[in-house]
Amino acid sequence: MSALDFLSVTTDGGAVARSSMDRRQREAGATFEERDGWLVPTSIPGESEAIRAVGVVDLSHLTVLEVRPSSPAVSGDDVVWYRISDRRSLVLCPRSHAASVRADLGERFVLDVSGALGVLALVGPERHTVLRRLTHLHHLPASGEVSHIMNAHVLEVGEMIWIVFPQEFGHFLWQVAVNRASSLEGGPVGVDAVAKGAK
Amino acid sequence: MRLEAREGERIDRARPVSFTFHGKRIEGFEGDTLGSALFASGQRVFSRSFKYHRPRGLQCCSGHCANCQMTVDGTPNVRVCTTPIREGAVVKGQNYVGSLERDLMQVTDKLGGPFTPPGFYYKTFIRPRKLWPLYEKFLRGAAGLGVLDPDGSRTDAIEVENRHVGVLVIGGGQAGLEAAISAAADGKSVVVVDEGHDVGGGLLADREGQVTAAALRRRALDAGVELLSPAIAIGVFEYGFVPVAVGNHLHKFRADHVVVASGIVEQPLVFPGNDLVGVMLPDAVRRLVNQWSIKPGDRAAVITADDRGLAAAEDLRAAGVVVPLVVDLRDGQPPNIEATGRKGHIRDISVNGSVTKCDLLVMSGSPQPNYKLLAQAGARVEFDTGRGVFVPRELPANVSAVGAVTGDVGEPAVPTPALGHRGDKCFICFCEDQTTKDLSYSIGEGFDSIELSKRYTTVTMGPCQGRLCSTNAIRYFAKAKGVDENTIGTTTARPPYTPVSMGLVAGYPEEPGKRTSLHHRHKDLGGKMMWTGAWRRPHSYGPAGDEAQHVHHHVGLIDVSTLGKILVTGPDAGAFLDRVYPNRFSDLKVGRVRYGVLTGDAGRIMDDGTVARLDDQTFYVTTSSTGADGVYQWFTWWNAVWFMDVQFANLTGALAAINVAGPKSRELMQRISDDDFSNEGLAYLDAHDVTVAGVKALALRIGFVGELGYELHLPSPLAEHVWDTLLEQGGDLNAAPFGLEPQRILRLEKGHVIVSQDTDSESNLHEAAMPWLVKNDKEFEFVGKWATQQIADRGLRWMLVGFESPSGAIPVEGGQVVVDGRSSGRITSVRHSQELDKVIGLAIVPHELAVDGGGFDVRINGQNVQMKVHLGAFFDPAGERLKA
Repeated sequence: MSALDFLSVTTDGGAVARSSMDRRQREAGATFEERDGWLVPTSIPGESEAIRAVGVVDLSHLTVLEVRPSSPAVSGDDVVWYRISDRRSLVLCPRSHAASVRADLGERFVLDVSGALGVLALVGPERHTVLRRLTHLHHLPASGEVSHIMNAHVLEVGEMIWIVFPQEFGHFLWQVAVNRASSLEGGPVGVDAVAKGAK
Repeated sequence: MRLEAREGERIDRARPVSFTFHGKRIEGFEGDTLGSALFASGQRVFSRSFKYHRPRGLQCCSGHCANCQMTVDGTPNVRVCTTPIREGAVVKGQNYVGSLERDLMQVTDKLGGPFTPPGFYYKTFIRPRKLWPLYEKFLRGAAGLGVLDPDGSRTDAIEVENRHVGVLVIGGGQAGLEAAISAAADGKSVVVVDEGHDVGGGLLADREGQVTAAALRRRALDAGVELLSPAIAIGVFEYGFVPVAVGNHLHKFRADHVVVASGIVEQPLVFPGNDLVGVMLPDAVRRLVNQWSIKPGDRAAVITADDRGLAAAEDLRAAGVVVPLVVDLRDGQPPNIEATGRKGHIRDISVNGSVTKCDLLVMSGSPQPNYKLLAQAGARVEFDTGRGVFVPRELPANVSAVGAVTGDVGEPAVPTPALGHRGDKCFICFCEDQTTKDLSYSIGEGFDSIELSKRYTTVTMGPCQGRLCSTNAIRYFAKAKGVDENTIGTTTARPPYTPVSMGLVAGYPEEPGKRTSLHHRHKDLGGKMMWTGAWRRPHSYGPAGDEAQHVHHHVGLIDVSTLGKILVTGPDAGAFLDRVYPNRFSDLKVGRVRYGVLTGDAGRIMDDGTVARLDDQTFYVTTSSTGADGVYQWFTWWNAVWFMDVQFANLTGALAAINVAGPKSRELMQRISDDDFSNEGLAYLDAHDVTVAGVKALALRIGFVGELGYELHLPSPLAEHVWDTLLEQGGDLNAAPFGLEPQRILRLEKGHVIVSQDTDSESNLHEAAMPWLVKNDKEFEFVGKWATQQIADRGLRWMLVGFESPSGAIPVEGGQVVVDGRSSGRITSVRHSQELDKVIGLAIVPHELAVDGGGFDVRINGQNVQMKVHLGAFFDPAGERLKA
């Protein structure tokens, strides 16, 4: 047993993990399902219309590992490797993949930062417009300020833009992103409405 | 007033649009502006001037001058000459008493002259002094522009968008569009922004130009150029940053290259009567005729320094206007010109004594290159004596200029700075009602540089931002002082070049706040939320004193997730902490916790917290709620110096923290965990891994609030579950949440310090009564050791002490400690403790007063009130409850 076990978002079955954006989704009438120990917003009213313009999706239930140093990268289905610098990378993957990813990382310094970082995705044809209204970052992937939140990371994953950010801003960033999306006829979307990406 | 339909006109006569002006219905057409429709309806007075309330009419019709500012749908200071007509708009004049045509405040023009010289508010109205508030109220009411609704709120949604583009062209006239097409042909992404309702710039003033503009527009679009209009480039900043306002949408462009093609600004001539209604610039007249098919007058005179006036004369004649007088200043400058009017409207023009009746006067000085954006970007500006205008030189990197803005304005005459034979009341600054007389006055008073005079007279500081007055003012200054214009220089070009709404600049009305994962639980429980740094935290859930008492007698839960949490791990972790902290951590046993205070190089207190050793190489450091980022940065900064084998990770957001405190806290912990929370299983200052409510957590046996307590650190996403379980399982133990304010009462009872509340930038460990933290016998010097030693050697001057208020009077935090009638220290914290039934606090006092049982005076409501010094904790000084 590691001295850092208390960092991992694991439970003995009684507890479910909630994203920092959970309350906003609840207010929007989201339907939730427990998946791998997380309460995941599977659908949100109005999502089918919203996603035609731009959908805002909460993917915070993904496992996020911080890896030092960056090389070599690991890969795999549904595994997203984001190199921040030579010394530091983030790996994002479904919880079911986390153990095998950790094994692939070998003896490197690895921290489970799933609880530290929220993941918000933009999907749909207007996703880049929303991104431009959130940040000046444009050569993706990139790290920097998103909606006054420092130390955020923005990456393109398939047809989605992922914003990885300190989770304590989740409530704020969700509101801001949905606000920006709404002015483009978009809105919040559940994870099942997203064709690719997190399952 | 409308002419017959003519080819190329912008209006669509098949699509009428109506709006109201002071309740009167005004009819216009699609393609009109509010201003053109008003003019077509016969309206001639569009505004009242800032100071003298003189009637003002359309002057530029290009959005440059302030003459047409009106209140539209409640928004003041809208330039109606460029605002597209819209159905149902409610338009009103502004800055008058009575009506636009009959403004009672015009008495200031007739009688106020002697009382209103430049700086009059510093002179005329300062005596008797007690009447100043009355004067001020009157002056504020009399002067100014439109009125904002003080109860109004933002109604328009603002959008702010970051844009990256290869080439940004500012100005969509001929030169700008051609530059854009050329850049697009080179494969660059290109955006053109133009302040007009459509691109075309000066081409739009005449009918042939409109054809050319339309062709260029089509070519630009075909080349993939994005055209934005009306779009205001607010300024040109470093690295190609150009914010552009498009209605309620702010585009923050970052361009690889900026092309400024802002053209020219037509300049007024300076002569008596040059502000009368009916005195207009050439483009204004040409736009009225050619764009909106309006006959601007019946009988017009033209005085011009270049071909622009001649072109206007030609268009006027084509529109059926009689033009009995054209004065081309290139043929010689008449020494005397004076316009006279009736009720503020032009009636005739006198040139060298020869009087010509007219109801329209077109005036055209040397066209001034519109260089302000280039000057903002860093270009040098110099005066071209041959053409009488300022031109930009030495452009900064990645900024270029094309077209007339470069100084390519032909060969105009250079008009005399003041053409009037009386010459003393010719308007130079129309926005601020500044005349040649005012400028002479300011020069006479010693304000003899344009920058000084600008601040004194406010010349160039009105809504036109000097577009129509800067050149004339500088030239007048040069003439009056007998120097050249380059010696006078220009005023500093500052953004915004064109006024934009404050709402647009402010951007989105959102404030980023950090919320703990228990935030909504606090709100559900009725917590009153407050800001602590960037965090939202519950102040309390009810009476704070009662909540503190509840912790003393039952069990309370407080969300301390905001504490900074930093992982320090690696072979050198212990040695590293020994270097950054004054006390020692390398000898801390695994599973134990020790308090630590960080000092800076100067020995001043930076932050405090606890350090727990999780294994041989891993330490878990907590910091104050606002200190996490600073401490993390401090650690990484020092290790960039020392290169020690240690890693840091800021886990502040990753982990929630719940402090369970009170005499029944152990019983509660045992209900939600199979781990041993007794003194044998988890002793005071122990740190163990535990499982609580099925969640793995780190439990720290510490007690900021002075009661038996456990601080649980666990993954943020699981915090609600643990919090809920604690409250459910503790129901019969009266478990209840408590907020930040009761926590502050409880910690004060223990005499615990809050860094930055009870310390300041000068506080050090010795004078903050924490000398026991200084370990001078460590192998390596710690940060701040030398300074800390110097403080000890020089002798202590101040001391942080506890105090009681025997009288029960409560001083304010920050209140003065008074010794011999002089301020000598301050109160840092004070509260009433229900548990102790006393007013207690902490104060910084002179060191010699830091004697247990001694006293010092505090100023309360102008009276000295004595406080009694109390050294050590007020409550449970032996820590028996803490270690129970």
